[in-house]
Order: sequence, then structure tokens, then C-alpha cells
Amino acid sequence: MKGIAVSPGIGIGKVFIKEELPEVERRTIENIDEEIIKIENAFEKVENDLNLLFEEKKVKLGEEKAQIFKAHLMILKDPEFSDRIRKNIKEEKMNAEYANKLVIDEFVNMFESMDDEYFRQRALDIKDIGIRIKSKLLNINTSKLSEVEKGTIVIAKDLTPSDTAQLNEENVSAIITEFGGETSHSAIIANTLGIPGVMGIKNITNEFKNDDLVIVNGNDGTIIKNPDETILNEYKELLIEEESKKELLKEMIGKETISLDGKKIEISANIASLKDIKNALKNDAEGVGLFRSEFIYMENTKLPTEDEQFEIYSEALRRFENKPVVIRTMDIGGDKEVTYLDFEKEMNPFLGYRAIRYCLNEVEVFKTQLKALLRASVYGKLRIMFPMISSMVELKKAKEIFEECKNELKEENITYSDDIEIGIMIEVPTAAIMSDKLAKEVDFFSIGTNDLIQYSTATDRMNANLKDLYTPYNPGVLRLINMTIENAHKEGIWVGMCGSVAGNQDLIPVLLAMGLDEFSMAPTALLKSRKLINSLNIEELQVLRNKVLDAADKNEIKAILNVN
Amino acid sequence: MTKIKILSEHGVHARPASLIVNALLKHDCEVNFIKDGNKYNAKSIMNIMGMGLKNGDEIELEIIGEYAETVEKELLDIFNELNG
Repeated sequence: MKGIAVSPGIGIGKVFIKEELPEVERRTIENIDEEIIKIENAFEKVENDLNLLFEEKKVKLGEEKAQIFKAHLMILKDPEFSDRIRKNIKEEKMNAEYANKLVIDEFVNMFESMDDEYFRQRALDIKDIGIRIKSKLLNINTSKLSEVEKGTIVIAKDLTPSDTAQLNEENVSAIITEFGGETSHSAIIANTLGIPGVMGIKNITNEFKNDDLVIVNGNDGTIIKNPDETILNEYKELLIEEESKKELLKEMIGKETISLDGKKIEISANIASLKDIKNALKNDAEGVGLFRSEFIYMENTKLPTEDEQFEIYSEALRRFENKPVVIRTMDIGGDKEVTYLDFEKEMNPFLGYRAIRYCLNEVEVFKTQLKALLRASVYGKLRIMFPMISSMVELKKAKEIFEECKNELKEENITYSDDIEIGIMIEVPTAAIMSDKLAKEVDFFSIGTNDLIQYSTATDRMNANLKDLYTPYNPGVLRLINMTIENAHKEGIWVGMCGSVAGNQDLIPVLLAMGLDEFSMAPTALLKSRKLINSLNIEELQVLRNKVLDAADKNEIKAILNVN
Repeated sequence: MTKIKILSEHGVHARPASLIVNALLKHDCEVNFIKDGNKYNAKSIMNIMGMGLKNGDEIELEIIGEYAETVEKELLDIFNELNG
């Protein structure tokens, strides 16, 4: 089997399938007693599970964290709850599954409609119990992602942000999903956590059963089910080889990143949350080139307050000491949905109401984030970056609002750093084309290749049928990148790159030759990129650069760079 | 009927509600909280949480059955402790 390789590395382990429970339908039942026994059995089983979980988590996480399972037990044993289900079965002759669903829905609705955030959150607890009961009634085992054992390969249709939040990178050896591609949410997370991943394999959850042995090759997208001894040993050796390569790369820790002819390069990490900082520092990131602040919004149930954001940004800055941290203002919309914000469904969400376009319209939301950033700026070296800028008008408006925030803080006598660099992402073709003008207004550019490729080639990056068109080797894309860097340098500002191309070992020499100053990538790619850059002479690479810029199509470029 | 005013800062959330329910389940009597004319079974954690009790809310207590006084005293103690 073969899918899209989205996160490099090899994983060997036992399958854990994230089960999706089917929808239940209403049936009229004949035997009421039988149905009552069914629901009572399900309750008993869930009660046992919860008791076990409580004891287990008490040992692992402490009494207080385990208390949640006690609360769940109490909801389960709530007389109001079980009585209503029984009543539905008896009076409406309803099947147990549907009776359970109805009562759960009633309570969930009740809690969701309350105006206190705390109570709205409790709806999640009730949903959770509903799922536990449902799975017992249907006899489907839904153990949780957070509870998998070491050496597990997770297989799922798709992984949501709440799924990935539960992932324990120590125990998960690889991920395989049916949906998603190189730039999907779960791919980004897998990359940041350094978990090998393959995506886009149809029907994958039906191909496997729990505990099957599987090999996942995140370098080329190969999946091998129940491998024989020879193949297994082959991959075990590969895995050992990879580990020792990783071990070897550790010698790069603590070194600076500098080309043979003496140009100092900054290599930094892409992160989505505070959780990712550990891995970034472990791989000796020289800073953060992209903090995807929208994840703070996506993993919340309401708009995060100024204080909440301040805590997160200031901690990130503190932990990187005086290394620069580029925080991108929220880039929601497109493929990144925020459930509690009412975005209208659009025909072309990637071309629609998103990122800076939303922020310039919902000024209060934008100002909350900017003020949190300003307040945090005294704790380190902050750089702020605006996403999706397509014209000078937007940039000027964003800067104006930023100045307004500064003035308002000044009036309240709240301090902030005077040394904050302001930059924009270059990901819309018009921004790349107008980069000579835009460069006069900012301190830096960061090229977002994922969207730049998508927009300049008019190729939906989520569409698996268009995989061949969505490529960084398109010479038009590389010319846009080259032009952006030249224009920036004419105005004396630096240029970084934070899309997945920045960590592409085949393209790094070309980018380096074009003059790129900063490369921001998944933490796991940092050390090998440093090693590569330190072995290159930029002066000598100019011939290669010129050849690439003169090429007519991607095949020619791939041939020049020796890429398959 | 005895009235109780909620004074704890965060109102009656899961933990306080569970304390109340745990205490009441030991008794056979029927216990209801009454708020805005609506009656809620105080032995049901979902009902109590569903009341969405906030700091400053006032509820009435209805206890039917044996040992009503003991139960009332126990409940008042819990609320006093919660109200700090």
C-alpha cells in the first residue's frame, strides 16, 4: 500500500484503530425487558471502566486529575439520567441505543445553552459518557488515543485537533490516515512532534484490525501489513540506521549555522503550541520562525482573552530566552476552522474571509491579540507577522491598528518593548510581485510556500487528484521566491521562509543561493539542515541557482537537482 | 421553607454538586431544590448542575421523608463550607 508521505521517519508497531461509532437509528422494540437489561448491562460495564480508569489515573496523574472520572461516574449514576432512558424505553418502546442518544442530547443541549462558560464545557463530559454507553451497547471498543501503549501505530479516518492534543509522542510510533495530505492539520502536528506519518489511503481503517503488525515508511509513503521476517528485519535495520543518523546529528547541537563562505544563517522552528517548544529546543532551534497562534483559537471553546494569550506568548518568549520568536497573528479560515466563530460556508474558503482579512474587519479581536503580544514583548525578542497580506492597503491598516494598540497601552502605563520587528508573510502572488514596495514598510518577509504554491499555481492543496500540480519545483513558484528575496535585499530587510519547502533538503541549496536568510521548519529537520548548510558554499551555488531559474518545467528542475 | 443563598465565588460547579449528591444518596428521603418556582431533584448531579447556580443565587429547600432535620443540617453544613 502506498499513500502520501507527510512526516518522515520509519515506524514499526502494532495497530490501534480509532473507531468511529455509527449513527444510531430509532427502532420500535418488542421486548421491553430485554432492552432494559441491555441498557443496565451497558451502564454496569461503563461503571467498571470508569472505576478502573480512576484507580489507574490516580496512580499516574494524582488524585485531583483523576477526579474527573469520579464526576463522570456520578453523572452515570444520576437517577434522573437512567430514569429518563428507562422511561423512553418503556413508554415509547424505543431501542436502548436511541433512548440513550435522546437523553444525552437533551442534557448536552441544556448545558450548551447555559451562559456560563464552565457549564457549557460540562456538555463535553456528558457527550463523553454518552459515547461510552453507546460503544458498550454496540459492542464496539473505543479505547482512547491517550491510553495507547508504547510502539503503537494509530490508524484513523482523520485526526481532529482534539485527537492530536491527546497524542502521546512517546507511545505513538507512526500515524496513518485516510484523509489529509502534506499540509493538513494532522500532518503539521505529526511533523512537529516528529512522528512518522502517511496519509491519503482510501479505506485504511477497514484494511487493518487492532494489533496487526505494520511498517510505516514516512519517507516514501509505503505501508506494509503483517511483513514477513525478512522484510521486518530489513526495516528494523533501517530504523536503527535512522536512529544512529539522528544520534550522529547530535554533534551539530550547539554549533552555529554558517555556510562555507561565511554567511550566517538562522534556522528556527515552526511551532503550534507551548507543548512544541521542548522538541524545538531539544533540536537546538535558533528561535521560532513561525508560531501558529491560530491553534490557540482552535483548541479553545471561546475567543481566548488578552490575559490568556499574554500568558502563552510571554512563556514562549521566556523559554527562548533572547532568541527571536516570530508569532504570526491568527490565520484562521481556509482549512483551519474555529468552531465557535460563525464563519459562513464559502465556495472557496481559501480565497475567502480568513486570516488578516477577518482581523481587519473584527478589529476588537485583532486588538486583543496585538495587545497581548505587546505586553509579552518585554520577556524576550518578539517579531510579529501578519498572514495573507495581498496588498499595501491591508498592510498599512494592520500597522495602523498596531500603533493604536501601542498608544492605548501607553495611556494605561503598560510597558512594551521598543524593539519589536514587524513582518508579513509572502504567500499571495500579488504580495510577491509587489514585494519591492511592501519591503519599504516592514522589517522582514517570511515566505509561506504552502499557500504561495497553492495560489500561484491555482491548485487546491487539499485535493489529492492535483498532487502533481501542487509542487515547489514549478519554476514559476521558484521565480516568485527569487524575486521576493531580491526585492527585500534591495530595501535592506531580511527574508525567511516558513512553509514546508524551507526544510526540503533538495531545495535548501537553491534557496541559500537565492539569498534566503532564515529557514523555519519542523524541529526534526533542524539539525540535518544545519549540517547541510554548513557544507555548502553560496558563491559556488550561483551556477545551480541560475540553471534552476532558467528551467522551463519541474522535470527539468528535478533533473538539475537530482530529485526523483 | 429554608432558604439558602449561594455565596461561593464560582457558584455550584461539578465538585460542590458532587459533594451534595454524595451526602444525600446516603438518605432515603426526597430532597428538592426550588429556584424560580422550578423543582430540581437534589440527588441528581445533572439537575443540580443544570440549575446553573451562580454566586448570589437563592434557592429553597424541600425535604420530604424521615430524618428531614438531620438531612437539612447536613446540607446547610455543606453549603456553609462551600460559601467559605
